[in-house]
Amino acid sequence: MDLYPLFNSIRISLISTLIAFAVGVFSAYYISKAHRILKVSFDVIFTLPLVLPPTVIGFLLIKILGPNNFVGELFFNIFGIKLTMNWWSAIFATTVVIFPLMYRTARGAFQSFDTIISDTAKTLGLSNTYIFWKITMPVCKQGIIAGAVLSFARALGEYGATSMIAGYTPGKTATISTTVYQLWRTGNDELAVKWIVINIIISAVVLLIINLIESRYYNNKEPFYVRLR
Amino acid sequence: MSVYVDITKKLGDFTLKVKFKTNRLATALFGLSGSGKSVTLKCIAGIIKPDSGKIELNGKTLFDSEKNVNLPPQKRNIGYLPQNYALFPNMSVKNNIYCGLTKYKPSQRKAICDEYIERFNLNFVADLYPHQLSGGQQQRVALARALATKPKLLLLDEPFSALDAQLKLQLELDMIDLLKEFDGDIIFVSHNKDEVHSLCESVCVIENGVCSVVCDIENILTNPATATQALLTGIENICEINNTGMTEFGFTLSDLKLGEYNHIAIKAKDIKFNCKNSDVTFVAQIDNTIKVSSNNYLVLIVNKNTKPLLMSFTQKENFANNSKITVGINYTDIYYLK
Repeated sequence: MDLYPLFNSIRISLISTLIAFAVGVFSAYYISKAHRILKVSFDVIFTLPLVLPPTVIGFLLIKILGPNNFVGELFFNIFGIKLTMNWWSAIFATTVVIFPLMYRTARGAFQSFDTIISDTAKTLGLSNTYIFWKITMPVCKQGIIAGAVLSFARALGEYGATSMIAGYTPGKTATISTTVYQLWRTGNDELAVKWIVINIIISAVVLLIINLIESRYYNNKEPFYVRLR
Repeated sequence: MSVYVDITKKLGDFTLKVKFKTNRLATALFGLSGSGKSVTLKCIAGIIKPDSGKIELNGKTLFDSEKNVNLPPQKRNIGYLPQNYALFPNMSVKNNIYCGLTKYKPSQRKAICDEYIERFNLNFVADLYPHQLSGGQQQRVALARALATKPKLLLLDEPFSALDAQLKLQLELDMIDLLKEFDGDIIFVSHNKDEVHSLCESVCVIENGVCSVVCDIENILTNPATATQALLTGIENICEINNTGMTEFGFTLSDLKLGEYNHIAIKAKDIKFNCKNSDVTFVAQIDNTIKVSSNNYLVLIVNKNTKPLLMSFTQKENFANNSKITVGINYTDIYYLK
């Protein structure tokens, strides 16, 4: 059994989770402090990929990154690289698909953080950078980590947009989900079931981790820090 | 040592318009919930930016909308104690105090942190986290953390509101003790008259976003001018009065001062039983008897749907519920309020 799809899936998921984590946490932090109208508009834009069919996302990505389209063509002319049909092309697709999960959970965590804590920290002379890294992030840590783990799990299961932008080339762009589809299509049920079992085990472990994080989160949460008006 | 505040801030359909100057050590901002006390404190601390006006501390401008000055909270040198104390939940007591000592040299910080832990009696809880502390301990940590930065002004926002009533008196005494060594100004926000009396010498009353001048508490006690001031003095019966002299309590006053005033206040002890010589007499029904701390009150109802009136009585006198009595009030005992 060739384990390349497992390796490829995990590598794609890890990288896209890292990207979504960094971008998601920072945009969530600034948007949670922004004006209401700005907040609503960014919320809609950033959450859209969660409700759009992956095929729509794949289509839009190809229209932007495809070799005959603007960004794709520009990249090919300058660097001689095609942005589609590489193993890393799937990262574009998964990052867009999981971004809403990361953004939403991080924003929820920042929103429930009592801002009077950071305001009081300012009166003590602490800098905004110190407050963000040493107070806000540690206090919101559990919610944000849970969001990252959930994003990773979702990235692992991405199929639609990935298959459109990276395709299925065994040993090159194959992921667990595209492999299962290919095996079913060619009637190789025995191998397909093996991959399905692997997939279920990974997903179950990830969900278990989220549960552990969340139960710790709620046990530690003291009613005293519930936001006072 | 003085604080000068003259600011306006629009919050939804509520406009805060506060102007006062303190030159005493401890000043109370007294007002009912939602009157804008906390927002005023946040404006002074620099957490909320006022729409316009000026804030000065010991002659130094902290905020001036005309000159476009708005110092960030980090540079105001003001200690701020919010209602829930806002201890950093991810840090131990020691680190809560230590992390705020940014203006000292790193070599001095540990000694200063230890000094405040010692002085505020926090030795036994120094390594615990905020959620492991009682409300009183949390308050002490927050106070130590704020005072360790040597602020010029300390802002206390309802410091006792998150505590059990039984603990309050002891903690008030503790706080008076701990604040003794603090040589800066204090502005103390409260809606509790007893706290104001025990902690402050002067008071500024805020009503619907507008404040009175700062004056001695004694002054207000003998001569309340508004309904909120009357509340501060602890007068039991306060009600509105319309221009025909009809009070919310259900009896009518035919007095010369009508028109200028829209509230009256009457102390429970000034309502007399069976007093034929009083200026105003009326019949009321006894609805109930209640006991508040050590005072006994009769709850009187003049008409159905009127505001109940409290009258003092001693336990020797015997009153049956639902019986009717005649009571009297003298004009000189009525406070006319704006």
